Amino acid sequence: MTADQDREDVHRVLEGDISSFGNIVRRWQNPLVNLAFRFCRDRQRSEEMAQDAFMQIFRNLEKFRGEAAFSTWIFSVSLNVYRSALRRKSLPVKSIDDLMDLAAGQIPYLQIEQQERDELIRQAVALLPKRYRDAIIVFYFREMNLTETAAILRVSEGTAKAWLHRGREMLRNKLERRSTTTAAAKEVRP
Amino acid sequence: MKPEDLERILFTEKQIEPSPTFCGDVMVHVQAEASYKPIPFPWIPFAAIILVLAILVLWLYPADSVLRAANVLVYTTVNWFIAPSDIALRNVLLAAFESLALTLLLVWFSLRLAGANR
Repeated sequence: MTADQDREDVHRVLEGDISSFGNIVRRWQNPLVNLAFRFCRDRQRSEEMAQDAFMQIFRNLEKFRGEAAFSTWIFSVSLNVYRSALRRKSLPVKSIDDLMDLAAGQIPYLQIEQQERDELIRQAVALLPKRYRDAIIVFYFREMNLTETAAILRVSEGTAKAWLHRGREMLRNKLERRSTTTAAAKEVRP
Repeated sequence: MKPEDLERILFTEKQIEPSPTFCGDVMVHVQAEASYKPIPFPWIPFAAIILVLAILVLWLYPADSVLRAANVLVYTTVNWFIAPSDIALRNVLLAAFESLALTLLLVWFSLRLAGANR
């Protein structure tokens, strides 16, 4: 249903009815803002990034040939916009280690609430090397659909799978090393 | 940390709502971009200038000398690629400089015309 509406609206926009693009924005604003948020972890910035993504979608609408699903195409275009936005202005924290140091300066890693620790891990994903970051964010955002993730990333399923595995591994190693270090420090200074 | 814990954390992410003005803001930018019309290239003045320049060249130099000069230019350019020499190099550089100067002049003039049409 949504796919048909999207195609119809794309057709209308290409025929000159610009206001039909408003329907596309209304339908996709939530997913695009949320996808941007997972990259930047900043509410205001995620809206700016999503707005840039919509502009890029509008400019490239005629390139949508309907071979892939509209959702795949729209996420793929947005992903490129978000990557560029993060290249132009990187996140305030540069690495997972810096992020953990910053958090540890406030509350020791092992003592923080579950919810805060989860949030810290989500922030850490945004600081992974680009290909692993993109793979993990898109995969979990698209409800663990590997085929769609690979299509959005424009790589083979095998490559997407390898990036996901490597990204998760990297994240787990960093977090485990950090929790071990924090626990050891706690033992030394009770 | 267990792999399933990581899966759970990454899969369960809170959803944020775009601000109520988001759609309107995007559409303002879209409408502005859609209403932008590119400046058409001023073909008529451009053709007129080329015509005037051609008449001027033919008036200043007889047609056969222009053709001879063009022949020499082509010949020396081709010849330089086959057997480079200082004289040929000088001629090629001179021709390249003249072409560049003419191009820059035309670009400047086109920009002036485009500016006047805004």
